[in-house]
Amino acid sequence: MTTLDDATIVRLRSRPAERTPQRLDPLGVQSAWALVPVLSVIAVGYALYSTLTHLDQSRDPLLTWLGFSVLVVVAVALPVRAHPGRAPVGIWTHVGIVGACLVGACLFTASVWGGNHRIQDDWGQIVIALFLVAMALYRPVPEVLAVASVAALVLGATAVFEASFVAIVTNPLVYFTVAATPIIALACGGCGYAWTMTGETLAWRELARSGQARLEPELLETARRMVNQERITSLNREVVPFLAALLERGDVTDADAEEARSLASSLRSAAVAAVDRTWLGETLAQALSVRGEATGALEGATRVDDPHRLERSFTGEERAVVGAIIATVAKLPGLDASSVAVAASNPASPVFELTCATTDSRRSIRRELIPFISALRSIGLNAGMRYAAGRLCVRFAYPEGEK
Amino acid sequence: MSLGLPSHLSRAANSRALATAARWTALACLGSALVNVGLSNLTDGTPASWISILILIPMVVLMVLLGRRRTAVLTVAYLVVGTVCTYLYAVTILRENPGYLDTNLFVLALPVVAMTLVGGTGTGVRAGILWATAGLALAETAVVLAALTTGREFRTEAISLGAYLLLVGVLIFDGLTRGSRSRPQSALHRSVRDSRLIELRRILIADSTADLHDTVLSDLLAIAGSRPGPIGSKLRARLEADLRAIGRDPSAHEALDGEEIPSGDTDTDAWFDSELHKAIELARDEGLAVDVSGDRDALGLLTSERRRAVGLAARQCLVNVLRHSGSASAEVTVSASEEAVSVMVVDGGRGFAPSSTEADRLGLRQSVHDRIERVGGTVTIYSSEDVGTTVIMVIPLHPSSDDEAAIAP
Repeated sequence: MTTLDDATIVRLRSRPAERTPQRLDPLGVQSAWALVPVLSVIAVGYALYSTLTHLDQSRDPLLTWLGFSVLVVVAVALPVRAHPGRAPVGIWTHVGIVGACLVGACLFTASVWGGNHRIQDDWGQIVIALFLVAMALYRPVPEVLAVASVAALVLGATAVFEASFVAIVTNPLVYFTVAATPIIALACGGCGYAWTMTGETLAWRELARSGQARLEPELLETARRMVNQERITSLNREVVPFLAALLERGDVTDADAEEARSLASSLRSAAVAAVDRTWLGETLAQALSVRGEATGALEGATRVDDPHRLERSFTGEERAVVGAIIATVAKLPGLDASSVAVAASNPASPVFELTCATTDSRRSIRRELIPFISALRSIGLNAGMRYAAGRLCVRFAYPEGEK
Repeated sequence: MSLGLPSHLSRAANSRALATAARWTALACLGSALVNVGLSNLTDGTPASWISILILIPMVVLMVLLGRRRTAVLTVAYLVVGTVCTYLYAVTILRENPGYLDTNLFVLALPVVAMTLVGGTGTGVRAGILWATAGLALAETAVVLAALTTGREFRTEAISLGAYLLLVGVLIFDGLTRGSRSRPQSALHRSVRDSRLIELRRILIADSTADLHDTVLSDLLAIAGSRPGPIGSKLRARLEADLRAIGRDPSAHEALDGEEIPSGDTDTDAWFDSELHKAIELARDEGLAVDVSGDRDALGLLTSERRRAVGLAARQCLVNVLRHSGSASAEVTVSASEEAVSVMVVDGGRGFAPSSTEADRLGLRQSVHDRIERVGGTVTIYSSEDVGTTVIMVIPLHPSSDDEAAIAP
């Protein structure tokens, strides 16, 4: 495919959106990320305490510690995987994290089988419950509840079979509730949070949409004023003085005819270029002009290499984030404004690269850009940044384009 | 289209979400406790034992009611009723299960956790911790009394303490991370507006280009095709008409040196260059939907000092809307009479007592009242709870000499 056709645009724009805080409120989830390592530390701390207090009940200490080791791996993997720079957290991460935890918990249960005094102080149900609280930020409520139900069922059933060995004799189903309740209760808590937050976000979207509609006349007036100013400034440079002088003199000379031809030619070229302006070019020009860079819209357009107009594939959300990335790059203190360029390729599944030279530190660039790159990833694009030898490259692509 | 909640709404939304989380968790715990009390009485089968299953129902009802409307009275009622229910539940569980020798039991922790979670039901950090502490203390007291009643040993269990610490930790974390999204979120809101503005500009540029083609470009081509000599009357008329259309008086020869560039309507410029316009844009960056109505060009009637004063005052009003009102939108109305220009900032959020002297109202007094009064204007505030706030600033067009002196630096 050499051009971006309408079918491709529809396909790229119509990817389904999950109702998760990660998808609908990516910046909010980024600020909540710090909770994930905290929950992991609590989980490991509790599991360590539980493991140590169960050593005298363990039939196979190696298995006990193996279960704990699996948990440690999960506790390290989850914060790393959920970090804003690696968004989004997908279903397989979810299933993998809880599944591995379940395996660790089962290894622990197997190691104390027949010697366990109490089930309520086993670490499995508590740790899985803590991780499910975090998962509700990233995954849809039905999925979290389904995974929680499976985990509760497995640990609950194990507890029922273990009931005959433990110190307190009671109805085995009571032990089912002991093992299953923490998982179900905390998963419900996490899901309640996620459901309300996403509901609030969706309600805000409606408000924002109607606010945007009411803003339309004002934006139109602003746009009209900008276009008018641009046009008058351009005409006043050469054309208006030429025509006014001609009118004053009242005579046309050969030189006037030649100059009129030349002015008409340049005016026509400028008009064609103006009509060919792209959203990316305009955004870039505007971002650099805020910096104080004397970059006209036409120059902005020349910095964009998008012959197939692949920018048409962007949804409103994607444009908002890409626009914010461009504006943020333009504000980097060490940026060499003349080096900023955007290139688009692969019409079948567009890939965009924003490149520039900057003397800013990698750390400060990451601090500025990661929120937006993470947001872009959360809404379904593959996005990342590279910085080496003073060259920054921000890349964002539709998933199929990364093959 | 906008991604995520703006900061000023995310605080309240987060609070409501935490409340739902606490409620759902508490209800799950109470549900499990109901199952446990049912299992304990399953073997008995007498009517009295089945009635005991209803012990926790009042707690469930009150928790549901708390979800609909949070009041201090309802919270206290939940704690009092919950303490009694927890006591009766613990007594029932301990009596029906001879194997339970002490109170270090997960099943006894369930209503205790539900009592503790009352602190999470939408109260804010400090109040939440206090309510949670009260809930934990009362529930544990109920368990102690139940142990005394049934002759069992009281031993603390870690589950309810763990739930309490988790809740307190989450509330503190929520308090610490509020507003941390503010800058990127503002950038996104601005980007949404800018994207639309660019789209509109592109549409208008296409129109403008067509217009240019029909006027100036045709004129130039006509001149290019003319033979040397006097300009024809038709061409002259066209040139004059087109120059007028692009804002240039063809008879104004002194302007032909190119130094004077008409830039459009002066009153409109006054609006776009004003502090008021900037204040509105800044509020929009924060995610506040600001509607502007009335005669915006009236701002051009004011001197630059007065425009600046009213703009900065309006900015403070909009900051107040963002910080205190909880409203997602506001309206700014500009109007003029022969004597004065009025700017009105209205929101439909939480109001306040205009006589309030709290620290967070200092901005209103200093940045709005003082600033407007220094330029000879007046400020009137109408505000009441659940109705919203209206701030009306009236700035005279012709201030007295005293006011002029006050403006001077």
